[in-house]
Amino acid sequence: MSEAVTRVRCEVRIHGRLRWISHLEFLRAFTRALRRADIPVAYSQGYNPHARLSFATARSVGMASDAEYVDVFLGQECTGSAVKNQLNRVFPAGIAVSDCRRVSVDGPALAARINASRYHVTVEGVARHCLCGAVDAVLDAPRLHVTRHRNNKPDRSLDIRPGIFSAAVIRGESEQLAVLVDLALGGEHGVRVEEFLGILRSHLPETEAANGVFLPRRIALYHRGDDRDVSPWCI
Amino acid sequence: MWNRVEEVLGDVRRPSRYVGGEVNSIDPGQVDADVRFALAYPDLYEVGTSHLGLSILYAVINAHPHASAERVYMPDLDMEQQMRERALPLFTLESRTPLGDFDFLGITLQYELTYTNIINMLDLAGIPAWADDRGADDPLVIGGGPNALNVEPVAPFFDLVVLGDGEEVVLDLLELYRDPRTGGDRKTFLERSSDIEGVYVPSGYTLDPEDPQAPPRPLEGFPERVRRRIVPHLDDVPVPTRPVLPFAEAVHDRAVVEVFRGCTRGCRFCMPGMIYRPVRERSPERVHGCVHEILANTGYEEISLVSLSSSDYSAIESVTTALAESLGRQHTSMSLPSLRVDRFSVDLANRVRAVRNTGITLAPEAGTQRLRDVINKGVTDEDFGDAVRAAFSAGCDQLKLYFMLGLPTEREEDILGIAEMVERARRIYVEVGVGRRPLKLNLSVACFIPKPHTPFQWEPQLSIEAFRDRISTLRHALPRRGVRLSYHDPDSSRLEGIFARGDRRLAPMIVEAHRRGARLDGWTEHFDPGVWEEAEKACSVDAAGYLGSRDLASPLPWDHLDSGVSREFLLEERARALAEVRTPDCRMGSCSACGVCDPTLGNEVVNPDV
Repeated sequence: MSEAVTRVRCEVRIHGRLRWISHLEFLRAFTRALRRADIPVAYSQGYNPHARLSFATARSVGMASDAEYVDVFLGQECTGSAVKNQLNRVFPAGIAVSDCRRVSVDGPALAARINASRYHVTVEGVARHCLCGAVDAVLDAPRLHVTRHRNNKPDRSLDIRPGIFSAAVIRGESEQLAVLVDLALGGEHGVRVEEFLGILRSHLPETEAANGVFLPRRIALYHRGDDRDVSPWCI
Repeated sequence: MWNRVEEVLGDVRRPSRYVGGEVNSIDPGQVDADVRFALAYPDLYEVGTSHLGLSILYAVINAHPHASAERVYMPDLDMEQQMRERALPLFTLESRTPLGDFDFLGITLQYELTYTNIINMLDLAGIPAWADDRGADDPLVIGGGPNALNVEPVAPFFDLVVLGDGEEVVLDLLELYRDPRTGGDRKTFLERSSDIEGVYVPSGYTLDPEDPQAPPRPLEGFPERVRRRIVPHLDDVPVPTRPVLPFAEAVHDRAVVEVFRGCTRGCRFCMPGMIYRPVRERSPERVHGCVHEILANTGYEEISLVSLSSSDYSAIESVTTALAESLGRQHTSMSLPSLRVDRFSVDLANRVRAVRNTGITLAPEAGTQRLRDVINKGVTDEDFGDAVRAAFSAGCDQLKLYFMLGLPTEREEDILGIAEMVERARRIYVEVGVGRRPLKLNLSVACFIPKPHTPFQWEPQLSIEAFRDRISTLRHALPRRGVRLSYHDPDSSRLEGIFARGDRRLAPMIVEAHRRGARLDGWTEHFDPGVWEEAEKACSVDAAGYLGSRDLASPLPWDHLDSGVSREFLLEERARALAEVRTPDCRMGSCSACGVCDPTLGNEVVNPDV
C-alpha cells in the first residue's frame, strides 16, 4: 500500500516471436516481470490492491515494436538504469527495456498526450518504382476512405487522409525496401497502420499488390504539437 | 518450419498460444539432447498450461543431461483449419519441430472427453493413430495420468502407458532407450520396458474375442497384471519451481505447490481417492521453500496449495500462518482448492485469503445424511451448517454448492434433501447476514458417473431421461428465486460414462467420431452428440452395456491394471455402502486394508499429532 514517490518511464522493445502476444498479455507479462525483478512498485489502495502502472497505448497483435512505453510508479527511490537492468534480467527473449528514465511523479499520463506514431514497414515483393508511385498517390489523394467494423454497431466509413502525416520510401539495412510512415494515434483521426497498408496496397499494380509482403514495426510514439514534436521523454 | 508458422499466425485467434518463448520455457538452441520428448496436453493451451503433472515431467526431463522436453497443445479450430490448408504438421512450441521428429510423444489422459483430441493431434502430426501402424521413424507414443488406470478405450493408440506417478518411470524409460542394446529396436524396447514397474504395453495384450468384456490377455513375456508406480516419499521428487509462465491467460492463472498426493478419506465415488493412495505429504519446510521459489521465478500474484483435499494437510495451519505473513507484504494471495465441508476448512480459507472473500464453493455431493453415508462423504448436517455459517460470518455472500444425482441407492427424499440444504443455507444467511444484499446461490449438479477402481465400479449410470427427471424433481423443490441451478450436459456425461468403464472395442468409435468431425468434446460449444450417435451406430457399440450394472463375479476390462487397491476392499466397501456404514479415514482410525500399503510404503503424515 506504498505511496508513489517516483515514476520511471520504460521504453520497451517487443520483437521476434513475442510480437504475437496481445497488449493484455504484454501487460500481465510486464507486471509479473516487475515482481520477479523485485522492483518496489507502488500499489493502489483498496480491497484489491494492484501495481500502479500506466501504458501509453495498445499495440496490435503481430506487430513488432521498438517503442512501447510503460510508466511504473515506485514506492521507493530507484534509478532508471537500475530498473532497466533488473527488468532485462527477467524478461524472456523478445521483450527488453531499451531505455528507462525517471519522470515527474505527478506529470501527465502518456496516454493523454501521445497522438502520433511512426512505423517502419519492410516491403518485399514490390519493385521500388511501384512502391514510390503508390506512396505518392496516397499522399496526393484528397480523401482516403476506409470502412471500420465495429462490434454490435453498423460499419463506419471514414476518411483517414488527415491522419496520415507523412510517408516516404527508404532503403533500410541490407538494401531492404521500406516505408517510413507517421500516423495519427487515437482521437478523431487516428489511423491504424493496417489501414494505411491496405490503402497503399490498393494503389499498387495488381500482381505486386498480391505478392507484396509488408511487415510493420512501430519505431516511435510522440506528441505532435502545433509547432513541434515532443518525444515521450519530454512529456 | 519457423517461417511457415509465422505466416499462419496473423490469421488465427490468440496467436500467443502457438509461439512459445514463455518465461521458464527451455531454449532448445541451448540444449544438446540425445533423447527428445514432446509432452502433449490434448486440449487448448489455456487448459493445458495449467496442468501440474506435465509441468513436473517437463522439469524432470529437462533436468536430465541427455534429454529435453518440449510442449504441444491441441490447436484451436481456426488454427487447425489453417494447418490443414497449408499442410503444416503439428509442432512443439519451443523449437517448432514437427511431432513426428521426436523420440517420445507423451500424452496425458486427464479426461475422457479429450480422446478425440488425441486422434486429432496425431493426425495433424502425420503420426498413425494406431500403434500397430507405426514404424521405426515414428515417435513412441506414451500415455499417462489418471485415466491410464483404465486406458483400454484408447489403448490401441499408445505404444506404452505409464500407470501412477511418472517422475521416476520417465527416467527409467530414458535409460532403457539410451541403452544401445534396447533402445535401437522398437519391438525390443517395448518388450523390455514392460519390465519397468508401472509400464503397460498395450500391444502385449490381446482381447479374447469369446469374452471381450474380460481384460485383454498377456502375450508371452508380459506380466499378468501391471502394477501402478508409486513414489514413496514426496520430498524425494522434484518440484517444478520454474514452471512455464503462459502469456495467454490460463484457466488456473496462479502458482501451484502440491502439498500432498493421495487421499484416504475414502469417498466411494472418487477415483482419485482410490488410485493415488497412500497419502504422502510434503514436508512443511519444503512447501514453504517451494512457495517462495516459485513466486520469485514467476511473479504470480497467487499461490495455490493443491492436493485432493488441502485442509487435510496435517501441517496446514502452521504452513498457512507462516506464509500468510510473508505473502501479505508481497501483495500475494493464497488459495486452497477442494475444501472440505466443515468450519475448520472454511475458517482456514478465510484466513489465508489476502483479498476480501466474497464467494465460497462447497461440495456436499448428496442431499441427505443417509446418502452421504452411502458414498462415505464424511459430512454431517452439522458440518454443513457450520461451514456455511462460518463463510457468511466472514462476509461471504456467494455460495456455490456441488451435488451429484444418480448415486447408488438414491431416492426421491435424497433429491429433495438437496433443496432442503439450499433452504437451510439461505436461512443461515438471513440470520448471519442481516441487512446485507441477498445471497447469491449457485447450485451445480452433475450426473454420477461410476468410475473404475472404485467401490461403485459395478453400479449403473443414470440414463439421460432419468437424469432429466431427477433434475426436474429438484427444480420443482427449489425456491423460485435466489438460486441458480446449473447442471452438466447429460449427453456428455453419458459419453464420459461409456469411456470410463469402457474397453478396447471402443477405440474404432473414437476414430470414427473424429473422422466425422468430433473434437474438443469437453467444450459445450463444440460437443455434438449427433456425431457420437452416428459413430456409435457405425461401430455397433452397445452403449447400454457399458452404462449398465456389472456382474460382481465377472472380470472387468481394467482388471489387469492394478491400482494397488484390492478387489476385496472395493467389494467390501460396496457392501458397506449399501448397508449405509461409513469407513473412517485410515489416517485417523484403523487401517481399512485397501491393499496399497506394504512394509516399505504407507501413509506419510508430517505432523501425526494433528
